[in-house]
Amino acid sequence: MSALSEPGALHVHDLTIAYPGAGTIVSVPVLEVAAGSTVAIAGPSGTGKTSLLHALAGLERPTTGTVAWGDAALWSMSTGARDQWRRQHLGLVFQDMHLLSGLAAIDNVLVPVLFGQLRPTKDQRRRGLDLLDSLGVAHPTRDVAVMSRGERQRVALARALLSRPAVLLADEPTASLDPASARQVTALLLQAAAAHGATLVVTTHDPALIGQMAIRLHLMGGGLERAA
Amino acid sequence: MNPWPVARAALRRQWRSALAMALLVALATALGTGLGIMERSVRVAAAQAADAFDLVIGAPGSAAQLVLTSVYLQPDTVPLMDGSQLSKIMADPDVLWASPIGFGDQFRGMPIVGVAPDFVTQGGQRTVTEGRSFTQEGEAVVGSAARLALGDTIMPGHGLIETPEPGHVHSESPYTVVGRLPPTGTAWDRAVLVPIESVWEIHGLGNGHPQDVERVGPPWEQAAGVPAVVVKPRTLAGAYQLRARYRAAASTAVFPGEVLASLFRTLGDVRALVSAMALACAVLVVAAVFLAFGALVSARARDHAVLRAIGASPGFVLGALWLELGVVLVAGVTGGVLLGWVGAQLAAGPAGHASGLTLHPVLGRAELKLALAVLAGGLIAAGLPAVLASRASPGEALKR
Repeated sequence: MSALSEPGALHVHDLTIAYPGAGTIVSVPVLEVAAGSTVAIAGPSGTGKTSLLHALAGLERPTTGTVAWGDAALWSMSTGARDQWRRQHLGLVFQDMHLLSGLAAIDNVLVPVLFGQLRPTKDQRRRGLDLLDSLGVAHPTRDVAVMSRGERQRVALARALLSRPAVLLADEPTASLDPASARQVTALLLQAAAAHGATLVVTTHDPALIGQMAIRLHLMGGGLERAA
Repeated sequence: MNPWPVARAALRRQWRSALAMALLVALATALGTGLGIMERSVRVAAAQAADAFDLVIGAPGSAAQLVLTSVYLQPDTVPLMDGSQLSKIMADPDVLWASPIGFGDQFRGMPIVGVAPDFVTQGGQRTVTEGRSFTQEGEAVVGSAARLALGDTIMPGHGLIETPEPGHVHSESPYTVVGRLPPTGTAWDRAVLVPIESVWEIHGLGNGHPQDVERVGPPWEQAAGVPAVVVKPRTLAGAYQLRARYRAAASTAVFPGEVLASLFRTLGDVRALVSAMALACAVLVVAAVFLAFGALVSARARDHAVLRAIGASPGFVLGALWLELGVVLVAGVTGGVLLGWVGAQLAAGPAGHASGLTLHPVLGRAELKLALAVLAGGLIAAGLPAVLASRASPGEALKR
């Protein structure tokens, strides 16, 4: 497998995202990221960071252009194939965690398994518990509704890592956390990406997080600029 | 694919809304179920009550009134048929046995009904469960549900119904309870049966027999007027001949079953109206559930978007939503059927007491069909918001 066709290698060409009334808010002529890289997409609020991330995740169709992870051209696929690609290759972490209250931490981690199976296997459950343990979640059987924000973000990270994804996308993962939790989550994200050899792309305006990424991109005036 | 844990988590998270929706469905289902059960049990009990009355002959007038008075002992003032007609009926070769029915008095709300000994024994086909039948004036046989014991003395009060003010009491003509009839499930279970001679005599009409003759039972050589005569024909053909013969200027003859069928045909429209109202109520509730569910689904659009974002297919989201509402609907419909059945059981006592019928409310196919219709209607109604939620763009929903 060549480096370009690895599932974690990102190829973006002629991508634009435009909204009626707002015009083109994102324009990326070319973006190539090698598998296993860590990328920060920074920029002020409202500049289209989340829209760009959604386009990279196959969640929001760009106005023009292509997004491919390895050989998988997301916007040429059917909806079902894109769903399957996300299940197999993508781990997503949200600013607001978006866990299912009413379910225990371990059950939240195992939710993606239920998309294709009746119930998790013993190995999958063991892996979920190990992930939670490695991320410092002390009570895996506790309902996430009673957990702290930092703890819930770690559960969300475990959910994203369960399928050993080649791509880890995180939308403002530290924005709603206190500084200590933000540092911890940043470290965990980087560790997890390194441990799994995953490509990590985060949108953020957290300087500490930006500083730890190998590739730093700034979204300014619709265009992406590489920062030093 | 297994969306159940996701549906279960949503139910746990929003148990108050789920409970409110289930209660709403349960109340609508209970209303339809209860009404259906009660309507049928009244119809069945009314039909069974008429079984024992093959033919009723009375003064010309309303057939329905004649049946209501004689079969269901509904207090009413009915015109009297001339006593000569009674003698004619008793002597008719097509009559196996016949009994006059005479009203006018009551004891503690229980009607005192004058009859012939053959009515007590149904021409030898029925035996008392306690004591014996009456053999002379001043004796009474009570129905199975009459709150009287053997040996009790009854002072008949004038009038068909008990009034708060003490009315005229025939204290000079008490009755002693000598027997009790087996239950029939009809208004007759609460009646006090006495010799027709006593009823005539109390009201100053003689005893139907020549002077100084004190026996009870036919023949009545000097019969007074009676509201109705219950006739047991010898044969089916004879029954029709009797009906034709006594549909004349001086009398009318009816088959209670036939009158009842006609009444039910009329009541059928009412029944259809009640059914339509119950159905309309169910439709309204399903519509309310649809709106509530739609609002609930809309409020959770981000949760569904997250599921889609982390790899769930639209079918998974649809399944989770449908399961969620399915649980609410199944719980509501099941609870509603049970509630309707329990309600009908509780209402059967007072309703039976008021109508004089023993009601046996049982669940029927009609109620189960209504329950299934509510369930299917609810699931179909929930389909639209569920499908819309499952097909929504996850990217757009996540940014809201």
